[in-house]
Amino acid sequence: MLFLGGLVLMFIIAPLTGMFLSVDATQMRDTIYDPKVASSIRLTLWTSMVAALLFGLGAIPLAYLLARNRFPFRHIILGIINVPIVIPHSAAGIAILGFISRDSSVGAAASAIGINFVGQPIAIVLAMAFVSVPFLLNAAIDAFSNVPEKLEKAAFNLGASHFRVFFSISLPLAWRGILSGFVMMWARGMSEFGAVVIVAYHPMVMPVLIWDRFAAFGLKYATPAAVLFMGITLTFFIMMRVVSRSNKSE
Amino acid sequence: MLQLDHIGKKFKTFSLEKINLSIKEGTYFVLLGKSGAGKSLILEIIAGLKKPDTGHIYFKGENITEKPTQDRNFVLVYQDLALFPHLSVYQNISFSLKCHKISKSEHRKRVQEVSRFLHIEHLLSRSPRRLSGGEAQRVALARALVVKPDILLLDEPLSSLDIELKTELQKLLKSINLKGQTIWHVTHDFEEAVALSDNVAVIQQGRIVQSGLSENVFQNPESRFTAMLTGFNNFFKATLYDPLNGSASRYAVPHHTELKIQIITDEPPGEGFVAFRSSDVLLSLQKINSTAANNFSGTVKHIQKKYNNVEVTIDIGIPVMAKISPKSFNDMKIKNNCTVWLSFKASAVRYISKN
Repeated sequence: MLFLGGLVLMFIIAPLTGMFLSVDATQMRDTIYDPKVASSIRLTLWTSMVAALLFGLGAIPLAYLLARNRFPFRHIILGIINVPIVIPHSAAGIAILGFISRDSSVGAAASAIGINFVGQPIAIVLAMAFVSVPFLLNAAIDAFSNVPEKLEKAAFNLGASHFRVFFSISLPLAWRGILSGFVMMWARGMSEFGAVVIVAYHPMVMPVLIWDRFAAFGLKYATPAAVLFMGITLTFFIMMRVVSRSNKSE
Repeated sequence: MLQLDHIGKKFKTFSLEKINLSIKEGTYFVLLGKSGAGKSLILEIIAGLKKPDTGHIYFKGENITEKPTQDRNFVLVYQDLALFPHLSVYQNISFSLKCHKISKSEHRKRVQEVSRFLHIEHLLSRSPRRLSGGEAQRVALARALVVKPDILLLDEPLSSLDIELKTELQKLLKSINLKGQTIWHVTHDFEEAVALSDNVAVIQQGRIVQSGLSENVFQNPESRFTAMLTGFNNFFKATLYDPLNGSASRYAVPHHTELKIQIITDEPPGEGFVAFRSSDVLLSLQKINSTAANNFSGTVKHIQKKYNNVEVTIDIGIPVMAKISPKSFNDMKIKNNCTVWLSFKASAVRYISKN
């Protein structure tokens, strides 16, 4: 059993370690100072952050409603939330493209007032949000469900409005779970390739840039960028683990 | 002051049925019943946290059935207290004052006042996570009392406390009531009800089976359920007969026995139940001459030692439970299968007619 478990762990660790070890300091330094890489990292970070913040505003109240209420078709809504996780991300990209291209009513309306989505950071934001919002929603639903309903009832009974109960009881008690979902959504948005490449090849986010370098120049040229970007995403992943661990220990 | 008029609520496996109860201002009212009887549900309905399917609630003549909980000023203290864990004790107590938009200077004044009364001034900056059981109870009470509620609703407030704290908190609750605070308290503990209540109601499976002044309910249980719940833990089916020649009192014969239990009752002969408290049964190693009309010898079948008493079950043809002090138990050297005499007065026995 230990041997089989060890094999699985090795399967995860070995390729990543191999990749990190295959890059020397000079290549790494060149990549860090490459203006295209720097610009791509900046774009990836801010678009994924905007996606998480923008959709978080709607996702948190939705998660609260789903955690606190039992209504017909609730299970169907819970299923719909998780659809972006299970469908191929290229298909998700095509769905988003169909939604925002000039052929669609949304795209045509935006085009009429001089806004084009396709090939723009806003398209990247939408594609990232589409595939990553389930992570925030699921974490927030769990976090709100773990807040004892009795505390909310006690607050109502003490004279609090729905607004006050949400902002002074439910949200503060659920925030750690929501934060870990937020970090997960951000990290997942950052690493999205399939959906983003369909709605916006340019400007290039890091996953697209890595793919572009691999397709054009081969493995050796793509690896330093991949290692650098992996370092960034791993940082966020570790952050999330720290947050969720401190949440459990409370 | 508060009147529940035909309150009903249905669930798949349980329903509250036509609850009619009323309490006067300043009363200490106890709703006594087993777990799952619907006690807490009634509290939530009074508090406005659940809506009844049928019936009305009147407060000082006003129909408040549809009034939201925020506007009722009936504060509920939950069994597990429901203190907000992310707020300090001070913030917990002043929470309701914030909701009612009371000025900050008044906040401080009221929090100081209530915390002084409940002796929790030293806890105000502490987190509820760092409070002992007794301290947390006092904080929950302070949070409820600070808004000067019309009715304080208590859901099993003493159930999780040890005996020492329980006694202390009982005194505190009674002193709060004596200051004029109307209290509606639900519990499954008969002794708690005896110690605190002015009025009591007994609830069984969503129905009120008896209510009235505490002494009336406790002295005259009208059903087996009430008798058992109110401490009459010796309870037997029996047939009541007219007095024997030369005797003033009627007697009852428990089914499947030839025992004659003397009873003072005005009930006519017939089928019913006899009930008496284990604390009314005296034990001796030999027959004693006393005014007790009922004297029987039997064999000790079971001994259960509790915190401050010992329950001894004696087989006299029926299993009779006697509650004695640990000292008496040790002095008499009572053991299983030893023979003892038990006696109890005819006036200690209740007869409940089947009709």
